[in-house]
Amino acid sequence: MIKTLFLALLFIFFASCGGSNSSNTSPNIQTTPLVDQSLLIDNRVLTLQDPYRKYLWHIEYSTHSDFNQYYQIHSEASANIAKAWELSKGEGVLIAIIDNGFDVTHEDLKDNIVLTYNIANKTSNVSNEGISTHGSAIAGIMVASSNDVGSIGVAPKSKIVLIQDSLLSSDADIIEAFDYAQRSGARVVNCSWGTNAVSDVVASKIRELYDSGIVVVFASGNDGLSLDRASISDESELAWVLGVGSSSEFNTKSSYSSYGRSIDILAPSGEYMGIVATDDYGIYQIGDKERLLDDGYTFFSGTSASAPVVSGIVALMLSVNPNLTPEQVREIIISNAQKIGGVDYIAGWNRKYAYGKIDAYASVLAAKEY
Amino acid sequence: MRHSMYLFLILSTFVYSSDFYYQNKQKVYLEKVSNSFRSYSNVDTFKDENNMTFGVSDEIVIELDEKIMSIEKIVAKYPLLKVEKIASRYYRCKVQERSKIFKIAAKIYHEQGVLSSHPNFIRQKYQR
Repeated sequence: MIKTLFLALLFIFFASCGGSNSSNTSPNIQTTPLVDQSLLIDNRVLTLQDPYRKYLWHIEYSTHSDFNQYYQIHSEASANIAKAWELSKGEGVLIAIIDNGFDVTHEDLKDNIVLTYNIANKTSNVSNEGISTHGSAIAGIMVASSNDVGSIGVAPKSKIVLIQDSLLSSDADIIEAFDYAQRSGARVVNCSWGTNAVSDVVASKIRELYDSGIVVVFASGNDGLSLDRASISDESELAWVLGVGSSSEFNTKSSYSSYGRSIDILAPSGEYMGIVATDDYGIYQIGDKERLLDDGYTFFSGTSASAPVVSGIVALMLSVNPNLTPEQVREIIISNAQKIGGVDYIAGWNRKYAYGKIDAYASVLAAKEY
Repeated sequence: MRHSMYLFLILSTFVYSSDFYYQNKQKVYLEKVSNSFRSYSNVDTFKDENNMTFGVSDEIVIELDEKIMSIEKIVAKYPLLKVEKIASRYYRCKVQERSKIFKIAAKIYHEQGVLSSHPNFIRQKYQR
């Protein structure tokens, strides 16, 4: 009897220890993450004065008046991110990027990369050789370091795990990618891609991440059409992801941004003028023609670029309140969105504008006070 | 038991005229098309009723409720060659006869404790 009582007390003691430990990160993450939590601590004092800050119209209205006038940047086109930096810069949050083509040596990325994985060959070798630099561009929008060179990401103190896969992926590959993201300890997963035809197993795996406290963000697509067509069942429409469309430098929905009943929010990436990203094909983009940016940087538009703006803002939110669930994150984002475009929002929602444009400061503040 | 399963699979080829798989508990019919993915040597291409195209090789992907069903029971009952656990409760399995992949996947789908079972579709991912 005494032995049984002792064992029961021992069990309660260890159970309570486990609960206490897990509440420091996420209440729902069960296993030891691949990324040691100490790697997420970033004690650097950031000046946030990198040279391209004057072009970051998605972060704040630029003080560079010539730039604003020439590219017709609306004074309220940003996602109000600079003000959100007063509350957080993304400390302590790991973001996974499932994409293709990463430059791990990039001057604005290397300090924030803590883990890499290649689905194709099951190694840590990821690169951009022979493939696009799409993944690098996404990473820079999200977490480019504030290091007095180049650009600044939305969450410059968050860390990233890069998961590289192929543009032709099997369902099993996609499940493996999400599983790796989950095991890494990431609280946010950015997906600037879609298949228009998500399978049951992939949808189920993404649901598993949602249930374990991970926010999964998908880009809605760039064909400018409704996703509510019968032929489309896109990842961005799943109920347990944040579906992201694009807003323009004119503070309207970008004309190419796909929309639908299941899309949640817009974020800036521009109609003609993209947002500053870290990659090497900038010579084809507007802005680079005027030689505004050096090699290794570009202006990048598309819902691919909007999704990492949202992922970065989610990282800022989780940094101030790590106990938020994905459902709570979504609720905060949509209830604090800016109702742009001069269109009617019925019960807060518009068919093409979703719940409006994300407001970083309002969302992070609400997350802090939640 | 295994022999009767082979017999069923052979007979079933005369009953069904189209390939299909289960998505959201509904049958999705596919039509084989001639073009193939260049970078995959062992892949057939199919299109669905909405003209979405998919590659299909000799693999199926299975999701289990492991409280009810184990992968060992599935392997014992169906002609599967190789099994790889790709995540908790998800398995990638090679089938012995590629021509019967849809039928095997559909039969497994109807087993108690199987949440999903369909060919391991190869899809085009669109960067956005």
